[in-house]
Amino acid sequence: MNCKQFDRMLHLNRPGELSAREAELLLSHLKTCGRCALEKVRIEQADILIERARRTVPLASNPDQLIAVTMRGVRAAASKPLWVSAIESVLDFFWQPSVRYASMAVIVAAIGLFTFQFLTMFNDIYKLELSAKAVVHKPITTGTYYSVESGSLKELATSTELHSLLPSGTLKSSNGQTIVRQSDITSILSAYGLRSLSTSVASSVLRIDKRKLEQIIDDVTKNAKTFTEF
Amino acid sequence: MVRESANHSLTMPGHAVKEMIDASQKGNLTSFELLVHEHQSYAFSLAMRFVANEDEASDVVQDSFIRVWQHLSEYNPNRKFRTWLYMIVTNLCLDRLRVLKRRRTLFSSNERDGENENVSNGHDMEKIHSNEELASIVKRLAENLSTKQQLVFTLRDLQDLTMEEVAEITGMSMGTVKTNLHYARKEIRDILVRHYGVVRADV
Repeated sequence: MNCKQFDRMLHLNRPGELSAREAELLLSHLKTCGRCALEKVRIEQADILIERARRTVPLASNPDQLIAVTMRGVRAAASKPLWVSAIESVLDFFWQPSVRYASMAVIVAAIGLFTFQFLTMFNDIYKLELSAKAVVHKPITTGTYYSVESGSLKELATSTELHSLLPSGTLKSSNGQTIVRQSDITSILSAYGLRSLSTSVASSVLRIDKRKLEQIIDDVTKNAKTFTEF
Repeated sequence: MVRESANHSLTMPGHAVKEMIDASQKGNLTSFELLVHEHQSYAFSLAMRFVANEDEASDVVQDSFIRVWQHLSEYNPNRKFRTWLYMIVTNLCLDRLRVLKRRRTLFSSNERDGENENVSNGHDMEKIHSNEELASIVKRLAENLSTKQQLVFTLRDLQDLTMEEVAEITGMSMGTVKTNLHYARKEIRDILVRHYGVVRADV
């Protein structure tokens, strides 16, 4: 151990502050180190002054008055209705500096998150509207068709609900099978993009029932790989 | 007003304090008043070690006992009542100190520069006649420590609490209490010895 470590022990010199082992180590160090022994003397000199300060106990100049005023406050608090005390203790809790700063941090974070989501949402809505528009105006062309192993898509093959998203005729029923054009698989799978947006917002933009939309997204996600060439 | 004593002493035995607390928890204001009588000097002396003047300390004491009354139902009887009261007083003092320090920073940023160096202006050991004067110097030195250091130094060295009580009141680990105490004492002892030199034990 070096003098710096012993310096810490020297300053922790009141009863109960050092272990017996530490006290023993310190004692033997002091026998050999003049610098630390001198520091000990300095500490003892200062401690005489600190001891005098400790012995000086400040008292209220009029303790009876202090007690009377205190009890007046206590009686006022005791006579308050419970709900007032409850509100006050909640306010007291939030008035604590640590809670105050934590609350402020949470509020700032919440505002930041909301702003971020808000901006991102508008961006997503814009993209969705653009893609929906593009799909609607896309001319129907002939191409390779695939069968779709998907319950909801089969159901939608005869539905008009997805007209705003997909051009009519994208999904067809043929010989008891639901078929889809290869070029439109991408359009259907773009529904993945809806996941980045709240389904409530997306369903409102696309004017599709929210539960239906969630069902379609889940279905397309699960069955995307089961498209087989027709 | 100051009193010289080796330490505080309670006049009420431990079991009587417990009975008072039990009765107070049931809403008995007379019992609570006895508790206030018994502990106000403790609370006041601790508050005075932290805040600027008697008015501030009195406010802290009043607020502390009102808080004690409001939270008596949460009091854990396995804990020492004095420690619990000290914790409340200390927290209220710290709140006031923070406000005070903020005010000082706002209105007199340069006022306290080098204050430690000037603490002995006009004083030397021969001139410090009263312990009250000395207590005021030590208090001013403590005010220039960090809040944690001031807290542990005041509770341990001025209020004479045990290390365990200091750790419980401040919510610090024993290691953190020791570290803060070491730095606080070193700072204060250095200044005291530098400015007041060799002192006699019988002063």
